[in-house]
Amino acid sequence: MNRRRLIFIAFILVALAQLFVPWHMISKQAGTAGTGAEFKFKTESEVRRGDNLAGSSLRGKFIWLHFAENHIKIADKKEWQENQSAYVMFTEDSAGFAKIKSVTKVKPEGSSDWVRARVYVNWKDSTLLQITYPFNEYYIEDTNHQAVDSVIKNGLNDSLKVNYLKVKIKDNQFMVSDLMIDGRPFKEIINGLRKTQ
Amino acid sequence: MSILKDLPELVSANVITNDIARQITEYYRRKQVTSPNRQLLIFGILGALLVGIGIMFIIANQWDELPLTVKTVCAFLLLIVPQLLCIYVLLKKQDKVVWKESVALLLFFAVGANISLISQIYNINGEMSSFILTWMVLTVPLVYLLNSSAVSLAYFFCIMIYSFAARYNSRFPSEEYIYWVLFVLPLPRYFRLFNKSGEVLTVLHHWLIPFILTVTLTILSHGSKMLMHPAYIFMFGIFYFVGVSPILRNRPLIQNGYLIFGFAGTIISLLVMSFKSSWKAMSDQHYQLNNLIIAPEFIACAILFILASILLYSQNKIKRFSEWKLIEVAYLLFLMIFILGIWFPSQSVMLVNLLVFVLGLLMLREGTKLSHLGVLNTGMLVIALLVICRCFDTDLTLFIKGTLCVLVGIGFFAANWIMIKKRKENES
Repeated sequence: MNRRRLIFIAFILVALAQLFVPWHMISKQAGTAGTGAEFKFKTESEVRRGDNLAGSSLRGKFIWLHFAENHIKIADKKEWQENQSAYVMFTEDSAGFAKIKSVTKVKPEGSSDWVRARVYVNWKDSTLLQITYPFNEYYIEDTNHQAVDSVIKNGLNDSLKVNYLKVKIKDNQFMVSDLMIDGRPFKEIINGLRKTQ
Repeated sequence: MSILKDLPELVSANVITNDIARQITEYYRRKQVTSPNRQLLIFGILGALLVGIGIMFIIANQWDELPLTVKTVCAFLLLIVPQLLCIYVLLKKQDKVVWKESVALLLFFAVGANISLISQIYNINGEMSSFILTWMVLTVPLVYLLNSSAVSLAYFFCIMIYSFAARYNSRFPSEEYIYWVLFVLPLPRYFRLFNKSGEVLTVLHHWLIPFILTVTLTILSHGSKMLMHPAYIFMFGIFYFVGVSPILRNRPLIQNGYLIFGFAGTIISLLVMSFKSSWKAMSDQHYQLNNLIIAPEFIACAILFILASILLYSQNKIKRFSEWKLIEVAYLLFLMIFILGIWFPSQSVMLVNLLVFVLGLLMLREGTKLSHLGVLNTGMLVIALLVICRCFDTDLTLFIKGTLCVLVGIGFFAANWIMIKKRKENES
């Protein structure tokens, strides 16, 4: 086999690998969508904690969601390093919203309701371990920032409304579906606003 | 080409024979076929770069009205079209460098765009490091298969970003070591490029590689931070040896990033170590040899020291010892000073200052001997920097500090004036 032919065959293999990766990403997501357990992560409205405003906010192409269930009590802060990776297991509370069951450094066994997340000790209250989930960022279609901004201000950060993100979880795989704002999907609200403009 | 125009005249004047004239014409014809038009190459690559980035922006902004399936098909088309272009080039334009470089770079960006678009469409969030790692692993074969220097450059730049993402935001312990594996992958091709050291993309490699190594060596720094100082000086020693190797030695300075990084890096590192405060941590029990042996910084030091010593030996084995330059053994001298610093840090500080001063003086002497203003002024600059550094940390009065600066300034003027005067005398 001459050199050119070998290069050509090798390129075809590389090209197939390049196509396989995104296809695999989609199929893994579809698997999670089909068999993963759905959790509702309640978002917290804008609250003033000390000098900091906490709440969901628009950051470029995504909304940074501020979940109510984003921390857990810890016994010893020395056990945790800055920005460490940890496994967070979930269960449901009496109202049907996601609740942290445990945060461990080792992979959980016996349940598939877990994701890997970043954790760090709260700098003001060292008895709290703060968690940043991989689904904290909710991608948006960014042609209408004004409408998105208004939904965040009047919907997501309104303390009188119940807002949550639906996430299907299975063994660290997760699939984000709807962001519900006062019972209506976020996308539906944005489309409605677009039509009226 | 002017030489080709002159050939008939040279033949008629019997300077060269008809046969030689034909060989010259044939040589230039062959050269034109194999070496691309430099302008076309640069614009081809820039074009691919802009198209790649442009497509990423345009498609990312036009999703709103499209259903999920259409979005997915578009994301895959974005990848498949450059892949088909690459196949076309491999089949029909195998010898065209501009085509190969352009389509390879386009595919490089298309792979990154495709992964990020799929992540966006399906709301798949992930870590920056895993995204770059996947992207790089999928595109590094293009460096070899399409023989692409542009992809190699883009790859080196992206793995530099990966090294930081993996070091400071790792998904698992020691993830940053994967960076070194990624770094090695395109090196065999880069070594082959050394023989074409005058080409634009090769010259860019000669700057980019020492740059990213300088920036990324720091990711090895963990608990034994002091050891990073010798590690850096050994690495700059290696750069210097590469810069004065037979292939690069006679190249213009602008094409020799290794020499600049090697020399400037050595001087700057020594200047950093000429401050007393830089040695403070050396008294720590931690820096006893038995505590260091498995530290990543120590292993890096050992590897870099061995490499530097191999290069020192291979480049100086035919020279007499008196012909060796001080800058070539600066890394060895620093190692001795550094070990001494474990017990006598104050003496080490003095010795580092002395080393920098002597390096500057020797450059002054060399500049005068060669009648080279560049070398002379570099020597002056080294001494001036040393004086400025000492102004910061000594208890000298403002008057003495000022006098020292004035003296160095006068030295600059005097040395240049004497040199120019000497040159004029020689010319007349």
